[in-house]
Amino acid sequence: MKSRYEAAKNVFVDSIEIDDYIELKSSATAYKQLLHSIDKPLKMILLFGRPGTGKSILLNRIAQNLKYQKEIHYFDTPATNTKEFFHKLFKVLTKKDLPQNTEVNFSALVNYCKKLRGKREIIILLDEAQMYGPEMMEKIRLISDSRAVKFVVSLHKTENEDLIAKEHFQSRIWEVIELKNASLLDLTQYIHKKLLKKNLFEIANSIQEKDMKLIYTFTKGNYRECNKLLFTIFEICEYYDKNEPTKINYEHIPQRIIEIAGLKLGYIHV
Amino acid sequence: MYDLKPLEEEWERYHKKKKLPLYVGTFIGTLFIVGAMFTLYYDTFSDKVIEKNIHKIENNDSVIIKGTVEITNNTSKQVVIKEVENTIIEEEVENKKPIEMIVDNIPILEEERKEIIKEVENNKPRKKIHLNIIESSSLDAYKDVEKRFFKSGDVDESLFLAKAYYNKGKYKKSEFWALQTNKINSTIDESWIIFAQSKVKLGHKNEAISILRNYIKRTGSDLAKNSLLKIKTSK
Repeated sequence: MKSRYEAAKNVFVDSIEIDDYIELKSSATAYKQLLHSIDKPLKMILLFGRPGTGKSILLNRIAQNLKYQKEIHYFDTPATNTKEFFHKLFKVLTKKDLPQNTEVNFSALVNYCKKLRGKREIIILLDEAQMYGPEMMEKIRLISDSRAVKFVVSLHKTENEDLIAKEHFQSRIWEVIELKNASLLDLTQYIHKKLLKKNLFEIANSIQEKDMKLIYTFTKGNYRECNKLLFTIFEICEYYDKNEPTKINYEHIPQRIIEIAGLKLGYIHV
Repeated sequence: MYDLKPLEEEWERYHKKKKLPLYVGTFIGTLFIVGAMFTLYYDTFSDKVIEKNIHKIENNDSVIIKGTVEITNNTSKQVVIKEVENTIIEEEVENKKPIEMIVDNIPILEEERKEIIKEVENNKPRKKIHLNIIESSSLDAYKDVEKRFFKSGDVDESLFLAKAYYNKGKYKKSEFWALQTNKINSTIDESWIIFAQSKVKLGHKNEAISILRNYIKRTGSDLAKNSLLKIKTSK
């Protein structure tokens, strides 16, 4: 027999699927801000925030929603080298594959982009852009100077990457959108909405306010961490449900289980 | 599914550790409350005992009150409140030694001293005398006496304070309380002497001499004369 917690567990499998997108007040603001920035005559837009703040899912959602309105392309995995990146870019711009054993001439590519100015407006969403080196970023900037290609660059916010963002890009005309960790209210809504989306309202109701506070304390409002923790909590619940049902309260998830999950994931230590 | 047993054990340890400050806090809190209650009870109980003893002394034997006060003054120890009950048995009364010792230490008028000895002598041999000596030198105790004085205006209270503060070396306060006593009753030798001696200790020797001279002129007190002589000869 299937445990009721199995479905709940699967709700929190970390993914950037558009179906998993949860509309929250803060994420809706970021979404609108990004849409607005894309409409501006900007060459590059910087989207940054700590890992797990929802950058990828936001880019994915933008790409999905605008795909019939604009020429928009989502580069979810960063290219391992310059050659691969320009191959991908070439395909996007020319809508053709690069012939075998050939390489993209950067100057020719920039000139090609310049010719596109006023005719086409291509938007490239670059996820995990911290993987691109400074040299590559400089080339991306030169391409964006053509004003035919607009880049939305998504960066992890760490101390070093913050420095890259500041030193390398800040001098240019950039729009900066920062995604932050969720507040307690946001996180509560996020968990509830995620469960309700799958009709798991009984389980959603079994997580009480003080449990949310504990979850928030452990995850510090990070969505990815939250997914990880909730997945583990429901996995433990599933185990008890199947093997030791006396240890579980179906009306209220015991704080003990949340703490065991916290111990497992290293949020707390003995 | 991973093995939950080790995780559960780890959680037990974590839970115990988490609750430890709570247990310690509760224990300390309980101790504190018990301590506070005991102190409160002890204070109330002590006050009652003091009041009872003072009442007993006042009603029974005024001679012993004087003795009690002087013993307190001669003792420089700082004791909060201590009750010493000495029972002087028949033989001791006959020998008169303990009483004489006490009496010798009392710098009071010769007449009073004779009266004390007479009274002791007149006591029947079989009669037990309960000598209640109350040593009270804590500041709180003094404050209680001060409060009582402000309510009653009793010179015994103010004179007690004057003497007690003088013996403790708080001459400003002893001067104040002697003055309070003098204002209410200007014929108490002891009070004027303490007043003058406090002045001396505060560096106003000439003023002290002038005060005692005036008092002697007014009352002709021998005790004041002795004190004046001592002050004059002192450096």
